[in-house]
Amino acid sequence: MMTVKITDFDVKEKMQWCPGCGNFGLITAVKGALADLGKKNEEVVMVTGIGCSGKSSHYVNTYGFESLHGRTLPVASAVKLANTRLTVIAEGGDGDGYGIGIQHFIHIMRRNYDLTYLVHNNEIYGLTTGQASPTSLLGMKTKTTPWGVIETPFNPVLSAINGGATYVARGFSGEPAHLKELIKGAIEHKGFSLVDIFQPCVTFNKLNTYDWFREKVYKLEDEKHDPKNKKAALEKAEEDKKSDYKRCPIGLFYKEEKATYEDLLPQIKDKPLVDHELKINLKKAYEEFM
Amino acid sequence: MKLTFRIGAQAGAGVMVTGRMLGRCFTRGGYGVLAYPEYPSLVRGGHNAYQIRISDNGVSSPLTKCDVLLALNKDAIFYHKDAVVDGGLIIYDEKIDIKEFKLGKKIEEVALPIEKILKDAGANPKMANAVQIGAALAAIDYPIEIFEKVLKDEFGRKGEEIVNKNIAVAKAGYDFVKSKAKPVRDVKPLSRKRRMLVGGNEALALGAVKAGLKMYSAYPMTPASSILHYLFAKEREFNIVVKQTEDEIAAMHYAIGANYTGVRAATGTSGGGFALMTEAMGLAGLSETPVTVFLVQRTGPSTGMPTWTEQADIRFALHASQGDFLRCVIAPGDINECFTLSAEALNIADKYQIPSIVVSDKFLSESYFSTEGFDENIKIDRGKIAKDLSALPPNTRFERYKITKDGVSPRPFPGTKGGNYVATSYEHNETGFSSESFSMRKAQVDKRARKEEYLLKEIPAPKVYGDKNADITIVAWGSMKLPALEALHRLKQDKISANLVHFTFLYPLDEKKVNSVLEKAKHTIMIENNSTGQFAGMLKQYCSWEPNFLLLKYTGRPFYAEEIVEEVEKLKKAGFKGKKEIRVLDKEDLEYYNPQRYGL
Repeated sequence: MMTVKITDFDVKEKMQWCPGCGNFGLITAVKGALADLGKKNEEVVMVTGIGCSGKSSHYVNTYGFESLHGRTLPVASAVKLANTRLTVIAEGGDGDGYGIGIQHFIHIMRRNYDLTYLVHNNEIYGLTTGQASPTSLLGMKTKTTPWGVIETPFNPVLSAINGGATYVARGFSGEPAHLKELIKGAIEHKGFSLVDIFQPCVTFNKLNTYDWFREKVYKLEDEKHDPKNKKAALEKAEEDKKSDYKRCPIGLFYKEEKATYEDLLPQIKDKPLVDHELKINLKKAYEEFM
Repeated sequence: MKLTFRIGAQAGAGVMVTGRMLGRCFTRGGYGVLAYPEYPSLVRGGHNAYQIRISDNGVSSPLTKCDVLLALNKDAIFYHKDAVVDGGLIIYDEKIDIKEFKLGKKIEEVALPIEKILKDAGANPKMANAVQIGAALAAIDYPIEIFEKVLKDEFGRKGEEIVNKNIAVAKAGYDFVKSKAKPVRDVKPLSRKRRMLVGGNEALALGAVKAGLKMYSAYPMTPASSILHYLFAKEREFNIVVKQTEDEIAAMHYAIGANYTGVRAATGTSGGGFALMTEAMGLAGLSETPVTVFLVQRTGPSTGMPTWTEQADIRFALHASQGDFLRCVIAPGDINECFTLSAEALNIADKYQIPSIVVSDKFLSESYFSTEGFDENIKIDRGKIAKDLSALPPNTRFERYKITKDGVSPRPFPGTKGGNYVATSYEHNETGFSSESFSMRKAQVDKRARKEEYLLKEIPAPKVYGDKNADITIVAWGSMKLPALEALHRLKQDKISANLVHFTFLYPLDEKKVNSVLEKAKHTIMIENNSTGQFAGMLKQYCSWEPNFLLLKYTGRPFYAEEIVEEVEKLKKAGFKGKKEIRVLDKEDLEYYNPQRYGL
């Protein structure tokens, strides 16, 4: 087998994010994970939404679909259903996935499609220049919360464990090597995997900076957290808030083996839908109308 | 021979099943059948009605009159007694106190002891349907044996006892009516091939499957839901994937995602759901991803009257989403066109890499129609698919959006080596990378727009039915073909020379082709099931053509043939002078939603 290099996933176009943006570390981790797993360019589909995160599908040289704001998951779901051979990665931001597209997030977890969802969670709206996001912390001042956020922040990790996701992790783009391993685990996991990623927005979020995260994050595996233990995972998922944001765990919170949605469809057991013969004899169906 | 039954009962009494089974008795006897349901947006509590029309030649429109009324509750007598023609028959449940009502003198009536018949046979109350159908068949002296066979086929899998009890009560109902009244008509099976009785939505589904539909994603919405129900029921037999999504936004994005990946996929909804699909219409337009939407119209705007019909969503179909991009809007007019044009819509979407919208409506979709069979020679055309590509230089992408003469660029399916590209909602260069270059923007807009010229070449002129040189031309689109054809038949009997120009392809419109047909018309009367003449407006805008008269109906019901005939005859009598817009109101102003308002 020919080895796959991380540079195989580069594109010649320049990545246009703000200097120091957390997306650089994140995309390096994604490409590294794909290379480590020996994925070929053509067997991967990156589906993104709109926002700074949405550009990712352009910067990783695989097949891509830059869809609409909040709609990464329904597009990615259909790509997987249509061709189960493909490695499908959906990427979006916190506004995209936890705001405008949250209904898709809640429902995809019930379905357990075999695909990976990476959320660039910078706790702010970046591309629209600095409004509050569903994960902005209480009291944070933004253009749309001049007196501070008064809505409880959405907790994606807690919601994912409760919602039925079968691989729930959180990474930090300031720790790309660690993040890469989480993404590899997510891609290899058979079922729906969420990797929520602390990804500092250096331009619009002056609160949740690299230094802010570095002070607080610690790795779950360093404290011997057992990802099969759901109760412990739920407790860890609430640690940010309970510790008053002094300790924010990253790593694999929860993992469960479960049949995927695709496994339960006999229609695609033998071959992916995209390989099906299209010609069909409807004689039997017509009989029922006679 | 033409004959009309009406069945009326409270919502939830199983009228829909009765109507379909009664219809099937006649398609098996080689008759043409139209079974048209009317029901309020309630599961229980309102009134349901079913019209079953049969004929030995064509039958296509509901009528204001009926020959036999099957009344299963008091409300049914109240709602439908005036529809029964002289010489007609009312068969009613004996528990109804019919003395409350004033009935026409020339109408016969039979009180049917449904409960007693069921009790004597040890049958359950659900089998009342069979009693009624038996009774209905006796009213026209039609052989009960055909119904026995229908029951065997329908309930065979539930066991012999159920079948036998159904047959026993059906015969009892039949014998009872025979003993009490002489038949209003003598109808016998025809010595010709049995026909199918198919719902409009089922025909849309079948046509799509025949054309290679492999995925269907939708959120339930009346009156489009039965596409979803039928495809789910047949999912494994057809070997397709059907997905009920969390909403219509997801349904449309699933269909786009699947088409992008290389499988033929479609979605379906009504106006409210299509509103949610609007954002993704533009996504399909800009990313040049084929997608087909079944837009089954109901009475709008907003929630409107969910279970009633209208043709008021074509402007919406035409304009949904921001920006300029090509789409194809197609409106089948009958059951066979539902099948063939559904298949055609999938081909057009793939060939031109655009959204295609199949516009139906409650009347066409939820009614059942007889057909001798569907077109078995449906061709599958996937358009330009990029296969067997040479390897790309490192770190480059395939030119998926290459500027081409006909505007269509070959698209590779994900998984194809050497084909990596990004499909995108952003304006882009030839590889799909975002671009805001003015020259590239113009080149991409022009490329997408060029498809129209090629698409128009294969879009047929509107079809003419009847005498090409007729004095009067009725112009209609979509499902209004049905009452219009029935009206032509009646006008002919009244010695009025009329024809029909019918549109199935609504957009894009070819001005020359359209005018080559319409310029021959003398007096033109356009009929639309909406209040503003949406398609008349489109013909004016795109073909500079205007009808002399515009007949509009927007009460929730389709046009009934008699209404068209009446207005045409009035116009002829007036020497085709008068107000251009004519608004039609049903003669019976009765609502099924709220029987209580009539003290029922």
